[in-house]
Amino acid sequence: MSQPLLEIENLAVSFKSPAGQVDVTHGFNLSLQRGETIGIVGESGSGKTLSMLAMTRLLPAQAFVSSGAIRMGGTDLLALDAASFHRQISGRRVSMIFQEPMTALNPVYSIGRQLTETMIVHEGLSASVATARALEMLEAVKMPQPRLRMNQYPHQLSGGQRQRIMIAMALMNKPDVLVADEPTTALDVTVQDEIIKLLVELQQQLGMAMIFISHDLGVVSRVSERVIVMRKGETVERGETKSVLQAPSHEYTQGLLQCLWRLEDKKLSTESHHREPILRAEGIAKRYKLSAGLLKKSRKVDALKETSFSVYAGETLAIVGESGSGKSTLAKIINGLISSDRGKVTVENTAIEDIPVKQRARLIQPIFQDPYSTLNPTQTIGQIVARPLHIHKTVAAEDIEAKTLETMQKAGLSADFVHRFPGQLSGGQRQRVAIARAIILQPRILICDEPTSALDVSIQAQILDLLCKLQRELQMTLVVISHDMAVVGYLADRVFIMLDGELIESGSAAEVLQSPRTAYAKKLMSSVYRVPRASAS
Amino acid sequence: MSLLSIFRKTQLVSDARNLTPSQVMQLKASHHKGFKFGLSLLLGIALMGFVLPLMLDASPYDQDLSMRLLPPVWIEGGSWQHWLGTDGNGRDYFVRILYGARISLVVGLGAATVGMLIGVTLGLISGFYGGWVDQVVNFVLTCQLALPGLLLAMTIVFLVGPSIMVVILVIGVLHWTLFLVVVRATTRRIRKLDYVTAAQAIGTGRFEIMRREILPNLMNQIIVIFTLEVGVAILSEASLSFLGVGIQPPTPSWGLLIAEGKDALFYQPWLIILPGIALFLLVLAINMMGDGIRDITDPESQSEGSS
Repeated sequence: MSQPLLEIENLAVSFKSPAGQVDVTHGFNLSLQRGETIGIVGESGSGKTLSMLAMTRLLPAQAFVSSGAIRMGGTDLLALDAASFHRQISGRRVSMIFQEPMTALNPVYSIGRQLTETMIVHEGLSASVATARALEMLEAVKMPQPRLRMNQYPHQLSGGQRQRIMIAMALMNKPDVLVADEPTTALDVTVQDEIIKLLVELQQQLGMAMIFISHDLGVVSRVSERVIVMRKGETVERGETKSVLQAPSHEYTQGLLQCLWRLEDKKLSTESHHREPILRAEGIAKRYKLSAGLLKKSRKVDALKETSFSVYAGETLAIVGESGSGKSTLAKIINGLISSDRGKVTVENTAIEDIPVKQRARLIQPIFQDPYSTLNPTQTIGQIVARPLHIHKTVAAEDIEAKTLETMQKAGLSADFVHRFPGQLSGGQRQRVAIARAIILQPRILICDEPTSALDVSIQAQILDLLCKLQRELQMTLVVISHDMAVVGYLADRVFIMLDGELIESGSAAEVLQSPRTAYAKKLMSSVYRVPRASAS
Repeated sequence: MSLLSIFRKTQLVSDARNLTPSQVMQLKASHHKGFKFGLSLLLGIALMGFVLPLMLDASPYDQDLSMRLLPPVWIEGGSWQHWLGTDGNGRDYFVRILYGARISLVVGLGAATVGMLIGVTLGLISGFYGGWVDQVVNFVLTCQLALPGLLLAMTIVFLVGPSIMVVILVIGVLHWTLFLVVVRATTRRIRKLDYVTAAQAIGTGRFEIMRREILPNLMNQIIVIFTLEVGVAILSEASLSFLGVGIQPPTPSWGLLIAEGKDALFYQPWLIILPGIALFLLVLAINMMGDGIRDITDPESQSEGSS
């Protein structure tokens, strides 16, 4: 092998804290050849991003590199002073793209200015040369109508388009190494597919090396030849992607894959049992008015076009769609949290707006996506879970504590969580608390809006199992809203697919996921990256 | 993983000992020099204002015309009997300044409380309901901001007649805008968070949502603004008293002491300098404490929901 392009040896990143220095990652090694892609896989807190931020000198203020070496073609990156690092390395030899395309661009500057600024200011290129280069890059990232885009502002672009702009920006100086930190996690599956294909293509075209950070084994297996698996700041496994994924040697990797297989291996439900409908929606529609300004006409957006369906008692119904498909609006309407403009929703033959709020709370409960905003940070877990009992007085005052503990236990939380605050809990634990709060009144219907998409893979399966278990025990009806086909396949009896506010396909899980009828559904299914499996296992 | 979640994690590292939010705050408070300094100074001034006069058994009103305009002890002619000297009526200046601290603290806390009640209530309501309620409150706010505060205060006190109660109410009614603006903005943000929706879904009433879910999350900001407003109110009281429409003589207020001493500015400057120093120290202590509280209760430390 020739001299590697980039070498990281024994890198350790530490945090300063009042309690002293805390090592977050240590012993991180990486060697990257020209034109090669390495995937770094790990869950949140594994230190995968921090190691890369250390290389690009973007570490947060309290963090610092406590030991190790980063060499790039003979230059020691850690020894460079800040000025020469920014002049020689950052953006020119190493570029980074981030997860969140919605906040990465400055909303007050045009795309063109953001693309060309660094070239004009730092390299002294003339505006016309820089513009030509920017146009070339926009074409390279397959941005339709590049000339028009140059004068547009970030809010005029979709998430996928913004991510393309971010990639174009990172590639302006033709870097040798591109660090992509979860570049597609915030995007819809079909857009993710496009962006991944684009990255792979650009990499071959420009001959650059890529470090691809992701929590998604499917995506990593698609883009990278070699993979590093990290956990709690340590590298637990490294090697050829194929061999690591087909014959993992470390138990952590094995566990991760098992979580994936378990979700995939569940036989899809073919049941389309038509028992009693518990909830019926007839021709519901919702339109949002967006006021554009004082004198302009307000714009109307149809979040949900006339939709009718039934939810049957005891089933799990999954509603699948990408962002903007109206699935969350639909969930809020059937939860009674917002009202529809037209049509009506009936729960057990009563119109939902005629059900008193308190009674509705005992029929339908929601579970939300973001475990960080679902709990009030100023209340203890015990207070949060017991709150519905205080409001509804379904059990006698002296039994509230026992009932709370019992419910927490059902949700997999031990009694010592009672006095803790949400800030002390992990994402998965918080989601369990949210589930405990939702089931303590024993509702008939649970509406879960992306219940696991903010969680790590290994925790996702636990939460899904918990939901299944609770559904059986409490005989609840589940309505799950998700964009994740693995989750849908694991939970759902029936599946709805939504696109632009319309219900375009429905059927049993097996029908919809295995033999989709509409073109969009087919595209959706083919955009899902699965980890290739060894035929033997 | 976004940068934000890294900062969140940074916090987790320092919270590694698994502390409750209040324990984290205590820990931070014990490391914050400005906060500790401000708090000790404030406690010292409060003790001197409220406890020391009881022990001294001296009245701020006792006149002794044979002892007029004595200088403090460190200036020639001063004595330990009146170590900060006496004023134009021969009253002990130290005792008068001590009593002045009482007035300042009572007016400062009282006026800031009045302002807090008005501002927080309006802010919560307008932030929670939005729509036309918000527009009405906004209009009131705009009107308030357009009023010349000090002139209005002078007019009202002049019309109603000065007393401590009136001064407190007038200053309070003129100082609620900061509470309103901050509480309204934060309420609007919190209102959209999932835990408020979850509270709605379990059947919590609107008032209960405001009281239990939103208000506790505003407390940090309210406390910070409160301390700032106490300082502002103390200075307002001093200004009003200086202009003759605040605390009335012979009650000792620092603003009044300065006003009474201004005639003797060139010959007995301590009459102005001493209450000036007292005023400076008290407001400094309160502001340092306010800054400290802001750092200590920094929401980033509680890994709040919004990301």
